[in-house]
Amino acid sequence: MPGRAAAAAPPPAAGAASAEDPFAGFDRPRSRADEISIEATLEARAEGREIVISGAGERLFDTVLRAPDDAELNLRFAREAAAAGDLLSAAAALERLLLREPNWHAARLFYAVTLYRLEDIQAASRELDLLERAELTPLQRAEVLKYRRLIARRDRLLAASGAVNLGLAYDSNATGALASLVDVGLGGGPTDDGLGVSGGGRLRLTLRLGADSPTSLFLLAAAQGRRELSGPALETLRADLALGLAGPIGGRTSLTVSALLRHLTLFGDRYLTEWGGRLALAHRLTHLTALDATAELTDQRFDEPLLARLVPGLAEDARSGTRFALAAGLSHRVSGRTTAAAEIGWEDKEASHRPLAFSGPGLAASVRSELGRGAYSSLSGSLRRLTYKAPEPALAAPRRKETRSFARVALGAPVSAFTDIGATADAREALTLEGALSFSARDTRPPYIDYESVSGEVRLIWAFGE
Amino acid sequence: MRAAGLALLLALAAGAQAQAPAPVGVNSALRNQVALRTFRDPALRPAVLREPVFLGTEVVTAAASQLQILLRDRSVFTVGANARIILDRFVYDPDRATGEVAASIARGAFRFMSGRAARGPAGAQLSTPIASIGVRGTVLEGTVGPEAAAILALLDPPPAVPPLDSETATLVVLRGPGADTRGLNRPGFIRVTAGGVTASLDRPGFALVVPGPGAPPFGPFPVSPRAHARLSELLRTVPDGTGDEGRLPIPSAAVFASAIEVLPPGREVTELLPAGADTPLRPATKECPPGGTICP
Repeated sequence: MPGRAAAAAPPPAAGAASAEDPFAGFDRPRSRADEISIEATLEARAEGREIVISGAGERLFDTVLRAPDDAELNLRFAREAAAAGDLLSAAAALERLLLREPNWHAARLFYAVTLYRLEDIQAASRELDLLERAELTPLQRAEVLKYRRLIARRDRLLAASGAVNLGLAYDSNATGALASLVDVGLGGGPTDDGLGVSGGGRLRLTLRLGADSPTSLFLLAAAQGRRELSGPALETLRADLALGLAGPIGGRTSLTVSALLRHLTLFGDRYLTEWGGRLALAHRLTHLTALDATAELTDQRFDEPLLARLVPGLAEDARSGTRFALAAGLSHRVSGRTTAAAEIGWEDKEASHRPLAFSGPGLAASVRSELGRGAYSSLSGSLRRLTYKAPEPALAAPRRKETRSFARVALGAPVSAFTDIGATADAREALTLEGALSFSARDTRPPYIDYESVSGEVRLIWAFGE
Repeated sequence: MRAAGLALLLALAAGAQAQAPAPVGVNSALRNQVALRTFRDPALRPAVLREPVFLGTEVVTAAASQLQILLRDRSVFTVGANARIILDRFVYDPDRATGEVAASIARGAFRFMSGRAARGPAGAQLSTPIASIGVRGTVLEGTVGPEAAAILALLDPPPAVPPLDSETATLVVLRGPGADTRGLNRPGFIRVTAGGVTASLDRPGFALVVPGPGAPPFGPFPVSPRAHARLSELLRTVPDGTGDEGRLPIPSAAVFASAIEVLPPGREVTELLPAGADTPLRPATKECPPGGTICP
């Protein structure tokens, strides 16, 4: 048998279609009939085999077919395939490169990362092991360590993850924002813009119930606050606590059951405390599409002395009551870089003072795209149509009806994206700078007052354990 | 209608005389000693890089040798050390991205990555002397013959497998993609049929073994790192130098692999219903439940 020299006999020029090029027609569209090679089919059938090929190919892949040993071409193909989400093609191209050049350590690291993304953890570990003694740049060494950490984290029974954010937020109608928050529906006086500082964080602890168990207990704690720097006074703090159990039921469905506690303060005083439960089902329709449904039932306790002073005879807890919400949605991976989601729902809120109770439908949608180097864009929005259950006697007005809308567009990127290479394999990859514009509106009818505000925000988000 | 059909057949037959057999793929990478033969040229001869691969091609490899065959539907066959493999069937319609691929593995190590033809209902079928392997959207590897026993001996603990037939014992390992893959490739799934019994694999890193003729598949069981390393020696390369001899720069693997993601891919929907969703408190990102390719 031949040695390596014979195997690497001089190949034809890459990409040069010629009379001898068996792949010469790959990049021109052809009909199915054109593609059937009668001779090959007849001969193959005589051997008990079958061959049918039809249709047009894709240009870059066709070029790789003609020059599968071209390192630059394969590297470009691997990169484009990985970006497009075709990780199998990317891995195969890198295997070609490594069969030819086993000491191309950077390609081996690229291969290991691709295997990790394919969730072939064992094979990724093996490739990382082989790089232990290799001479790598400091960044490549840091990437080896990073993926070793990520792999080790998968085996832990107890995992912690979360994020901390801090930023500046501007509202063109900060007065209305406060009035809308307390849901008086009567506005908040003259419109005035405002600038504030906003910050918060969330922590998620997950405990798997066994080494091979996909079911886990989780505790989620989150808080988000805001305080004015200029403009109308606005000081809010919202805290959320959830404790639950999450796991699969069947091969394609996951169930999450959790108990909830939420607390909202205004200017340091308790405004709302609610507690209850949430049930969430997610069902994978295909490997790209998932259906989810949630049901949430909470008991809300409000404390509104301001409202009680505004409306004679109204108790401070007049808005208290149960709230029930149902929602169902669909998420779809549109491409390797883009995910879209949409959700419809229904909410029903009771209140001891019935004119403050409401119900109605809502919908929400979002599109998120990866832009490379970890940068992303997202567009999201929601629309709620609320009908209050009784007219307010104090206003001698018909029943209140309103539409609340919200839209937000955001651009973000990790700090590492702004370096020459686009990666740092350190904390800068976990620190994201995000800018967003949003629009909030409430359309109602007199005597209730419409509300609109355009907001802008810039924030830094540090994520860990994800 | 019949006359038109006859005319088409005649036209195709006339065209067939001028047409060369269509290649189904190409020798895309090879290492050390690899030979092949086709039904037209029954003598074994050295494999050549970039050489078109036709249906019925038989590949024979020596020790420490590998051949990667890239098929036109993007399927990739890696023929590992001490192997003999025949490409049996290839049907592919790129316009519909469906088709079939089939190959026979007589002995030795192999690795198969599904392409687009395997997305169809028939998918890819690999056969060994004692087992049939149905493949869907998968990376799988394995070995037929004496290496199967050597690899099983490295499992920790070794499974209580019935005695293996040294010539035909078939080991099949599912490599991926896993259910949590970040890519768009369908999670891997394999069905192995032997001795009238069908067993399936859907977890990366797990394996089935068919001990001998007439025996049903045994498993699935997890493959230990040592066993994986042994199988990898037959299918992949190992660097033999510390210096990076790559001709092109890859400054960051994470950037090249599009692996930097500041949030899990998935939905970021404004919370629809909770109190304060349209308040100055900013919308939250929905939590992803565990085990989902996409969120939720």
